Amino acid sequence: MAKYEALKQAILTGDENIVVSEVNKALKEKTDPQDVLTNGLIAGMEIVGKRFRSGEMFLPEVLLSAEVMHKGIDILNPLLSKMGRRGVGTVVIGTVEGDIHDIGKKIVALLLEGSGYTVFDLGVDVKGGTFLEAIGKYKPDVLGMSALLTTTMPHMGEVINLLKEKKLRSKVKVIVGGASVNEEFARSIGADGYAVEAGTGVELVKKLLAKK
Amino acid sequence: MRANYVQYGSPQFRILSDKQIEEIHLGALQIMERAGVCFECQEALDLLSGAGADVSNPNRVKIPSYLVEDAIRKAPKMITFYTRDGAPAFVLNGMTGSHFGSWPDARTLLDLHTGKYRTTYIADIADASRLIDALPNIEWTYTGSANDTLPVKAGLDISDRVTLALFVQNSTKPIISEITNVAALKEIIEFCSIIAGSEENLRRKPFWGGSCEPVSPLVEGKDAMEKSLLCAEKGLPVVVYSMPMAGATTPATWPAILAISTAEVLSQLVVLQLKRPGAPVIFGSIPNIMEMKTTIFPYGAPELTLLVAALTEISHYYKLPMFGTAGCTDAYTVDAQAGAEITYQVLLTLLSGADLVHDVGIIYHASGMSAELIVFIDEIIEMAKVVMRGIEINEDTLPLDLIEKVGPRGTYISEKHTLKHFRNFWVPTIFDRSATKTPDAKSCAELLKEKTINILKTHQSKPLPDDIVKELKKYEAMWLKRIGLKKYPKRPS
Repeated sequence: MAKYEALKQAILTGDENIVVSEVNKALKEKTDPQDVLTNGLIAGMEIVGKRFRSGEMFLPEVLLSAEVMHKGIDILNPLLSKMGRRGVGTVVIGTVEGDIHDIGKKIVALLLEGSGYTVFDLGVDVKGGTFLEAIGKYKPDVLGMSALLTTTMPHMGEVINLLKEKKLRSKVKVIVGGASVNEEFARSIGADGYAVEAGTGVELVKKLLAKK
Repeated sequence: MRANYVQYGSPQFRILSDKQIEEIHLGALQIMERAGVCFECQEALDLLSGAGADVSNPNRVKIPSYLVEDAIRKAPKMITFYTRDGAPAFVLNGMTGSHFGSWPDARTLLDLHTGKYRTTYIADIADASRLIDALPNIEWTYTGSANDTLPVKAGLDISDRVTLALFVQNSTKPIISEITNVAALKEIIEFCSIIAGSEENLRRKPFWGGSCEPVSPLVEGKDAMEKSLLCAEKGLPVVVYSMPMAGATTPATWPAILAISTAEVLSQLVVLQLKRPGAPVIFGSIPNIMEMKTTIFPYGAPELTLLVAALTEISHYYKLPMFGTAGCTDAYTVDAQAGAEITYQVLLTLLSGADLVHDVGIIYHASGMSAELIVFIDEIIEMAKVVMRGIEINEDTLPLDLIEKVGPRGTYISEKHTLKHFRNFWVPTIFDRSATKTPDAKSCAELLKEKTINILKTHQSKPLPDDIVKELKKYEAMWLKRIGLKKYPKRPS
């Protein structure tokens, strides 16, 4: 059996017990925790992502996979931080001021977590200042903003302007999404990317961070 | 423990009130007793006369209402159809919902690859039979009696048997056949008995039934009557359906066409129950309008669907299974009109509960057949069944504790409860729900064509046992010899 095959299979089927036992087994065999993370857990979630995009897997199944994958990450995290290593990336996400629509952004956050990212979800009706504070505090690679309403989406541009003012714009990639947003709008406010739904949102984050 | 509680709610649908059904029933009885019904078949006249009907004028046989009530009482309220291989396929009893059937052998077809109409070849019938075999919501087939690639010699038409023999070699699903004449019917019963093992087995576990049509208004023709009498004698199911046209063969009003349809079926039912009490009969008729611009019989007309649904209520009032009609379009191609017509027909038919529903996939007011349309309707049936399943309420489907736990601003997407239940959500196979309109996102038409081609390429039907195929081949050779051919004409590639 190929390396991590049982682990990846357990992520696909959402079997928590096998994920935990396989990760522990690998560590016992003195495997590098970074290798278990990248070639085991994240590789498993990549297969899940692929199957989700091709329509073979459904969102609740993907989230179950993400959940069991995190049980594995929980074991690796203390070891990784002891070694001074970082995970795959950090994302701060929130729904902009005046908008209390939550579910789409939540799904993006869950899927990003499922792909191994550390996600700080600031919730809904997030003011510009709150986004700035979070960027200072968590030093994310990506800022994700969501808006459902055409009346609230201009706040996305305001946040980007704020970032420029505070000389933070170059430190973070900005992505936007939500029912009223489209590619053209994203470009017009100077965002780095836009995705129409959660699955492609994760792809977008991967692409942006690969370029970095 | 909940008291006086119904856990399951499904859509309720009704066109006629009890009183209205009674009124149409009484109207039909009066038509049979006073207007009379024309009978051309001597055996039928003898049976009617012997039972007390007034046959002094065969053009207006007067059937007293007690004979009709007696026939309704004797007719089976439940008919089970079996597969070719003898397994129960479905029960027709007004309670099991609608069972849809298609038609593999229309004389012309809308070619899947060219998008043009052309003559149907024998190989096309085999393909369509396999398609019907593959589709889960198409449960049986109708077979016709004409193929234009076979030469017609007076009295020697073999198309009905050829089609039937092709179908049984390519599908296990039950069959209702249009029959050329009594001689053809005898051969059909002969070789269906070979497949079933014996004539007795065929009667006990019918995978085949006949269909015989009264001619509107109020004529029981000689050929049709003789065929249905033979089916009755053998105890084989027979569908009795007429095709009255409001404004042409009946008055232009709905109760009139319903009463005449009812009288046409019931007067044949009387004869069949006299021939053999308990003869299985499926109540039929396709009441429709005549299109007053073109005189066509418009299969997509909403009036047809309304009238068939109302007739279903009348049929079920007698507790007789109903022969419904749905999945047909007047459109020339599989287009928006086709989509609209088939969808409301399928949904309203399911709501009405017509038992044996025919003509899935006929196109251009019954001029042709489209493989893609059959696949399309299979999907529409699946879609409509979501509505038909209704809503079940119990502690699991109304999980108030979970709602309390998650609370405002929570999400259910990662809850185990969602994981357990989301598979009940219907997933379309041919409808476009792509989130992004990328150049490779396929349209419904493209997905439909792809699915149809894929089924035809991959579906393997369960074969008939070799010894039966051998017997069938003998019949095929005999039929071909009769019309002076060695082989079926080959489909041009």
